[in-house]
Amino acid sequence: MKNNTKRYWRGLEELRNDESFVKNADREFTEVVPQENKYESLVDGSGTHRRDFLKVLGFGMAAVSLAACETPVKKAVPYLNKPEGEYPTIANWYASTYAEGGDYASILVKTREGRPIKIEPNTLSSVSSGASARVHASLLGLYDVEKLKGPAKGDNSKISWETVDTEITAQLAQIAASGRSIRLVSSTVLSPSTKAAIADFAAKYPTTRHIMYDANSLSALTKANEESFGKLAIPAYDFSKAKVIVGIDADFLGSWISPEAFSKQYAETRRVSSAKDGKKDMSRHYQFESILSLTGSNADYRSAVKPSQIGLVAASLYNKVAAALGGSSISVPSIEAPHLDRAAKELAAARGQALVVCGVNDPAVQTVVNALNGLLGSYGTTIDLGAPLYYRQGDDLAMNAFIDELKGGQVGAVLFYNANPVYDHPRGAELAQALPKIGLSVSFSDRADETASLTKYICPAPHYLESWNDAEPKAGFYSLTQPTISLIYNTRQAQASLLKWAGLNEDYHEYVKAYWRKNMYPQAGSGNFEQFWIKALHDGVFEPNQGATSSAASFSGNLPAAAVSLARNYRASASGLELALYENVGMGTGALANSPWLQEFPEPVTKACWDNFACVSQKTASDLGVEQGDLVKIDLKGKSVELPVLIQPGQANDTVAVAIGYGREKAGKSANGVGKNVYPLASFNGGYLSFAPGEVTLTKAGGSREIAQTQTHDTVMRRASVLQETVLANYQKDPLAGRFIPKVETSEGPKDATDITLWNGHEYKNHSWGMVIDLNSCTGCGACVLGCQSENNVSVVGRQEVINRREMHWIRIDRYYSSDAEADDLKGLEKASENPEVTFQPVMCVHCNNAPCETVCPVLATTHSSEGLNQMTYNRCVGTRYCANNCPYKVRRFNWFKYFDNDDFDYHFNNDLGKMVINPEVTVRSRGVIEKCSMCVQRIQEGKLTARKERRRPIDGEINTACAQTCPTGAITFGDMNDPESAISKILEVEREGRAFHMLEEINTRPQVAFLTKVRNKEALQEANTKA
Amino acid sequence: MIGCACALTLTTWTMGIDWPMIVGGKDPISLPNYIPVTFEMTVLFTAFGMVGTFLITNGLGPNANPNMFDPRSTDNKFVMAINLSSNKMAEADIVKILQDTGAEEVNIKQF
Amino acid sequence: MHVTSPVRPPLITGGKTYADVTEDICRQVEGKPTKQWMIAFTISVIVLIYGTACLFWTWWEGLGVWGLNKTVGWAWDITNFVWWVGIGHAGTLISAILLLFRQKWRTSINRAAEAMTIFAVLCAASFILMHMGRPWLAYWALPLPNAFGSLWVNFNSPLVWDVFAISTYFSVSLVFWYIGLIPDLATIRDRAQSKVSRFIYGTFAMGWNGSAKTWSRYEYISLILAGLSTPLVLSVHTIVSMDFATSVIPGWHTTIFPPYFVAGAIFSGFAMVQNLMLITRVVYRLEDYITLEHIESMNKVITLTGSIVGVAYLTEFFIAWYSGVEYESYAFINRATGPYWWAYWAMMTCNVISPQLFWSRKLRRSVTWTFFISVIVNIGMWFERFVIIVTSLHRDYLPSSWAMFSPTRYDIGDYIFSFGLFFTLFLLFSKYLPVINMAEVKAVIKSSSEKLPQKVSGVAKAQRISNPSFNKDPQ
Repeated sequence: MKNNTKRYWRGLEELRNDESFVKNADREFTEVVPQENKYESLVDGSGTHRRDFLKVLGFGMAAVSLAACETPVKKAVPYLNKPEGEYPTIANWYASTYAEGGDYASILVKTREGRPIKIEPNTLSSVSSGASARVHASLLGLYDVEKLKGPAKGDNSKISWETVDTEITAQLAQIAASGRSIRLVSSTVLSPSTKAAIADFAAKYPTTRHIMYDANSLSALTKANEESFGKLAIPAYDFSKAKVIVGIDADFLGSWISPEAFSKQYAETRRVSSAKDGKKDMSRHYQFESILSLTGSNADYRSAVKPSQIGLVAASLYNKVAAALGGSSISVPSIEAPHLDRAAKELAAARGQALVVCGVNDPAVQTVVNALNGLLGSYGTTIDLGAPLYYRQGDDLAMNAFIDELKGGQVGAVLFYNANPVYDHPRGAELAQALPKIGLSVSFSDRADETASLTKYICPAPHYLESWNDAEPKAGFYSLTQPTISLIYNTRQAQASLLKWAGLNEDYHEYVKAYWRKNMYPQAGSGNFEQFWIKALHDGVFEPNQGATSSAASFSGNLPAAAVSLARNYRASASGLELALYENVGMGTGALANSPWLQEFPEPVTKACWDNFACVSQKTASDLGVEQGDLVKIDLKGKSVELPVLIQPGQANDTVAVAIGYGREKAGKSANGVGKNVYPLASFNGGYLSFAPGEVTLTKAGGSREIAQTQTHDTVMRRASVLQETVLANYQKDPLAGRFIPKVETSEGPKDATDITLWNGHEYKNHSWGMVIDLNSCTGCGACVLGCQSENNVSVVGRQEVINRREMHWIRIDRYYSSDAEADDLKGLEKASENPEVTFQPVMCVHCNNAPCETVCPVLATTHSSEGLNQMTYNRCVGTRYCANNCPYKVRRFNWFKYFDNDDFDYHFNNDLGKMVINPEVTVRSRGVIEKCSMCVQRIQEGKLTARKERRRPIDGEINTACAQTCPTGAITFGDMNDPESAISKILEVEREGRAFHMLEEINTRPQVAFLTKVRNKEALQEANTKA
Repeated sequence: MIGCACALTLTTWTMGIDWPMIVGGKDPISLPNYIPVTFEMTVLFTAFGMVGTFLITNGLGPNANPNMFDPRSTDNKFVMAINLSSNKMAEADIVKILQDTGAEEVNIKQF
Repeated sequence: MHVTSPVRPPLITGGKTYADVTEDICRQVEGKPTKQWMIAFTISVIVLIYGTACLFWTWWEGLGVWGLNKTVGWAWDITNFVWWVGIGHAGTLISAILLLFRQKWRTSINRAAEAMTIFAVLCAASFILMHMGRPWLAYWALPLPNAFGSLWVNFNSPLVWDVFAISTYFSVSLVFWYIGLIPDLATIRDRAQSKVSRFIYGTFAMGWNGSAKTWSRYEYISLILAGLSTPLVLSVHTIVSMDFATSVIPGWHTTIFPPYFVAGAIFSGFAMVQNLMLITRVVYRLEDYITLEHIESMNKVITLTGSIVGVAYLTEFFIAWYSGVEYESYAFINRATGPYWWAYWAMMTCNVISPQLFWSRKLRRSVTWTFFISVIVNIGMWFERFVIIVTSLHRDYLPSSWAMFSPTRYDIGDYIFSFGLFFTLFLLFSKYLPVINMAEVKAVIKSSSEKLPQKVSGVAKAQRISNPSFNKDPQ
């Protein structure tokens, strides 16, 4: 044990001491093998031995990086001495943390030969769940060639760190001495160590103040909580305990606070089972919102209300619940919204198991919602104020004050860390004007972005995968960020810069460690610090607060004042056209806009990418005389923006919605000029950032711009064998409700369509890999799409090619709107309802056993494996595309161009650095061949080989596909259907006579991928469920 | 027949025996699917066989010596060749008969 | 006009003698190219060069330059392929089936029609190569155990059937055409003045000597080839139709396709023959050989096959409804009323309605109308394939994948390439080879021709040609 710890110490110590390290590397390597086993017992001791592939800790990377990754990394350099813990062709996983602008995810970073190639969720974390599209896409930022290669002063990028340090330190000292203020502006900082470093900096320069703001601010929520409960924080929500959930403009499954974690909790309440004594009840979810958000798409009952009414919805709901539960009512204009009465009634009935969440950044509305949750007894059950979430710590008021201060010329120095307010703050233009006049301005941005390009100095910070850091997303839940590659460019962490300028030891790694020794280690209770530290690094998380009971709180806010404010700011009926800004599920605030993966990620509801647009409902579009793609000018009090129209069913009438996060100007070639920046259109309501800035006029600007959508047909045309869904009441009576079971009339009477065949079929004797996708758990977030893209080297094709319907994603999420038309009105069925029900259906290759694609391939490039997989042999393919045509599910993708080596497709894949992200286990497809989902056959093979080496069969769960792995809600179950103990077999056993169905069963393709019917928690419907 | 046999052997051997692969859930040797290829092969072999036979029996081939009696025979004239050596009639008689019956030209050629 | 037969009007007018036939037809081969030919040839070559440039870019850059997408994986490429293959049906059909049926009127047109077949099949084959993602690996579709081990082709795939069908059809047609050419090549050889052309034609005439025995064997082989070709013609388009019929795509998966495709192929093939022959006839002044009778006969075939195709369209619709299959019926309703309704109605108008005009004898015998309707029919048949391929694919099973197709300049350019290729080849053919089968035409010239000496027993020879059982000694 002693040796063991020593070894890892050594790796750490020598992080910067390459010479002696390399000298010793060989000797250390000889010790590795026996030590690995010992290390496992260490982990076992604490009961966290869950990932048996994770055998090597994250220390070997130092050597790897030194050996393989000079600046910039171009060619693989053969190892002179093999680095410790690094085996060619064997991947290593390092636990780390993604924390950017308030988003948080505990992750595992998969590296191959020293290159991080994939981000996977860390299942040891109880705070984060899955890995969102943004987390996957953040990987590309590491290999972005457009980043700064070193510090810069103005246009001078030849400057050295020493010069920069000397100059900045001198100026800081002078400013501090003269008593002028120093301001550090950042987005939410989740890291306690970083905060400590900032505090140390502030100690040295006492005029320093740290100002946090969020582009997607929740400042009003924290403020309201302070007023209502005395806690300036976001409480921890627990959707899994809720029976009735009401969302008021809160896209908690898509963009609000911590959508992945909420999705997981939410999905738990939505799961049902067809087993005899299986769970047959679900939570009921009401959503009141202006746009059709991802959350609204998943709601059981949804009402569209205009932004100017949304506050009154909260108030009315409160009044109605108060009437039922005996609370005091508030006097506000009453509002009629569909389902409001029902929601109030059910909330009241589910007291203690109810949850109301609201995303409006208005303290008055949040106060009402707090009162409502208080009435419902949510505090202590579904809401926990004891362990608050730290995802958004921005203070709108402070930020506004800062800008005023800056304009007033009172600021001596300003530092921007993880912040780009010139772009993403509504007053960015004012900032841009004021910034050049500041004596000292520094940005830690990795590139000369909108803000950094206006600062005097840019001290580029490395990517988080090159950095040390920690995070505390929730009180008492800590996690660590460790580098997985050495610095690619001549960059330095912002914290190190701050420490250096503060005259302290700039080794931030040591700093974090010391901070943990002082603050976290005492919470661990036992063991020595080194063991604690290694375990924390190995796990990535340290959660001393896990299992703490949530605390109740009593509401003490000022309701009448809130009511006054509500009555002033909201109207029960308004006729004007209103603007609603929203955060796009994929793009978020736009900080990661230069990731082509993210740009091409189809927004879950609109299925559009590479743009933002003006969403209007069909009725509003007709009223205004505009059609999809028409360019329109949106005018708001003198500010205007020109965007194409997108018709969005389900959106509130007389509302135009536009996504933030687009229109970057200085982010890089993938982001610049994509969409329009609408942050300037956001306004402030009582100092709080408001995404509902009021009434706008919309006029045709002339011309049109096609919107790149991966799906252009919105409805399922009542095709019962494609999408099978039912409502809970029917399902409780009959597990087969909503199922479509095709029968074929024969001379011997009706037969199942799958019983009629010419062929004898094949048996899979060894394994039979399959998937079950629960449409009830799937929220449609699309994390799987990027998980797959990252794992399988799927090409990005760009906006025009998406318009040409040639996106390459191997898995797509089909989104269908319901239609009001009768079954035989085919034209009518093409139109979505005004307020449609939305269903998501992830579709990848379903691996048909009777595969139509295989039969037609002239050259046997696609055949079936003996384990049930439909395989694609890229180098045998001649590209007739017959298979793609004959695929009923349309999952095959053709390489129309040589994407990885064609200047027209400059999406990081055609430069040497960008190519480092390629997974070496997966072929990069050449032009002219077909590709498709392989069910991550490389992972299956690897898992089988590992098992074989250990002379056993693969254990269920050991092999997982990229999509299933990354799904926050666990909607996708992958496994061996021949293994009776596997999760998939167990699900199928229960659901075979229940919800499990194959798409297009009647054409007898016999897929290996099954779906479970979607069940909505609605009242029984007679007509919709009599299909047979 | 040869074509048919070849085709059937080729299809079944390659698909079923040499390297059996699962294609579209069909049996390795799925005869109905081999009908078109078998038919085409049969026709092809027959056609080529017949043409080959024709060329060989007529002694035709690229640049073969035409062995013509008269080049005009391929235009608008007809040639009737009579082998004098194996004919009982005298040469002059034959010429006379021919001229009487309307022959335009009578030539005696040595081949 | 010489009414020499009580039963039938003569097939060849103008009182042509054997020598006239030879002269009229060989003149084109032996003389200098005419001005019209030069103009036509220049245009064709320019078109071919433009098309080749487009084709080159398609191959260099990848198929992405076409308008295809993940849903519509075939559009113009396979439309053009099937269209050309269809056109390629007329030649061999005229030669083979009409030979078997003793339809002597075929003799004037079969040579050109067969040449057209071969060139059309070449054009079709060019689309097979073109539509591949990696055309340089096209040989992998042949049953060869390639360098990667004993990897064979997939005999379950209709595309492999296509490879066999098309290559067999091409070789057999070529052989048939060539065998038919031999006597005429010999004629040209024997008339040739220059050494070079004597050598070249001599090479290809293969030492034909026109002896009775050779003629007799020639008759046999022609008949046998005709016998073989007939099922072959029918099989080719049957197999092409199986590309669609054996798939699972609604609108493709129908058993009616084989006969319907064959009828459609004959339909378009005859229309194309009409077009070409009408032009050739004027340019080469062959009005006496390709008479109104020929034109009328072909028009009758066009009307018949057009009606068959029309019935097939209606049957498809009926079956789609009668089967009760949701996807199938939607596919057909979508064809007629969906976003591509115009293609469907273009097809209906051109293919079903326009040939019905030929019920009028006046129109049937009008050269202008014939030419016009033939063009319309060819357009219609192109749309038929477009409708079948694109409108079936663009909205198949999962509405999420529904998409539209619109062609790019490279789709069009590559189609233009095939026209350039076709006309260039056809013009070269019409210049350097006899466009009309002299030997066979001579056989159908009636013996009553005035200029023919009564005593010449040329009629007997003509009978021999059309009567293979002739087997008596020359006197």
